[in-house]
Amino acid sequence: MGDAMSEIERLRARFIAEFEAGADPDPTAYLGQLEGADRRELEALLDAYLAQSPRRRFDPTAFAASPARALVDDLEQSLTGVAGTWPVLLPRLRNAARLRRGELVQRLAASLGVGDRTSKVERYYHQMEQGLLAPAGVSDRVLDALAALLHTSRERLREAGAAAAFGEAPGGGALFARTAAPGEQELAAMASAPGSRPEAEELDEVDELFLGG
Amino acid sequence: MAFRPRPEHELDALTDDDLIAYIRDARAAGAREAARVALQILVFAHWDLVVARLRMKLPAHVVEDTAGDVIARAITSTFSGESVGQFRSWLTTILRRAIVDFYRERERTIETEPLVGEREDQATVQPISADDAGYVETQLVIESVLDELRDDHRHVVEIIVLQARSAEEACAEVDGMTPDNAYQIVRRFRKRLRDALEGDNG
Repeated sequence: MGDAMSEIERLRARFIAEFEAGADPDPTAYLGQLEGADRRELEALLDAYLAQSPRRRFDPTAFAASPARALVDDLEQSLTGVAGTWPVLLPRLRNAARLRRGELVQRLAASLGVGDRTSKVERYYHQMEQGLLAPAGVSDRVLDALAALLHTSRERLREAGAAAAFGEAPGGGALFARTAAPGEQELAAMASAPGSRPEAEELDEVDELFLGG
Repeated sequence: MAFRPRPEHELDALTDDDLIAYIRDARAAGAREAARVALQILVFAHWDLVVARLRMKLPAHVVEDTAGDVIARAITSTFSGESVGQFRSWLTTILRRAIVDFYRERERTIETEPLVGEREDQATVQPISADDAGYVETQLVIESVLDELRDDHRHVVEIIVLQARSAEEACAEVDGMTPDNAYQIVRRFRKRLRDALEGDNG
């Protein structure tokens, strides 16, 4: 056991030294050098270290090259939009599912039985990813179809959409905005808003699916 | 009181919770650029830590996307007042939930179709226990072992084992502690942790 402990300690110390030097060591490469209980112990120790270790000091150059930069962009959309963390979650789920947006939209439209109105579905899906579409208006049918394509659940999508956003009041003051089901007037206004295109009287099944709740 | 934008080096020295308060104040004052700089610092500060922790638990192809989701959920829920306790602890709570969710979803989905990209990652992240998800909540094991310690001994373990600081620093921070005592405390903790992990493994 003494040998095992010293090997665990050696790997742990090396990982920490690399991490604290600003490198990006892959912990699985360290874990892969051990087996069984030794591996579990090293994993526990590394996880505990990472949970408490000092956070990274800001480095503008490293940030510019990091995926953290794209996350900040998406987070800003989340914080100013009306759709909770959809701007963060949806592109990432789509990426994990290896689907381009156009491909996802086509499949989504087909799954909803509106394959002949893909461009309209695309507009609404774009608004979802941009945080511009109120989640309460998006029907369970849409979320079920989307969840199936993105290997997730309707509940997870609802939960993400319900996350409070740090929106801005019309007068310019900041507030915490929580999404709510739109009223009839709002619904017509949303459908006719720039980017949505259709006139209020032209609401069709696609509008209902994405705006009607 | 009027909002005052602060330079980057000052923001970098703030705690997570103070940084979040600053972002809230900046946005309330309409200082979007100031808020963005602080948000960049907060996200960058935790990105590598979250990615490294997730790498030990999830297939490689979902790590970065999950890290983004975890950090976003932690930050947005903190702004909305839904978070519990300090940001760092809350982040760990969200991270654990995301790992559990991933394996739940995978179990549910895999019955109908294998996930694209899953196969090539299976060799790198091996299930490390016999439980249904292949996911062991290792930190819970550590916490339970830490909870068995008296306060001063726990503090020593946190400093030397979890924060990777020296025995000398532990002695400086814990009244009456000597390097020999610190060494014995850490050694006993490691042995107890090992026993707990082996017990957890069945």
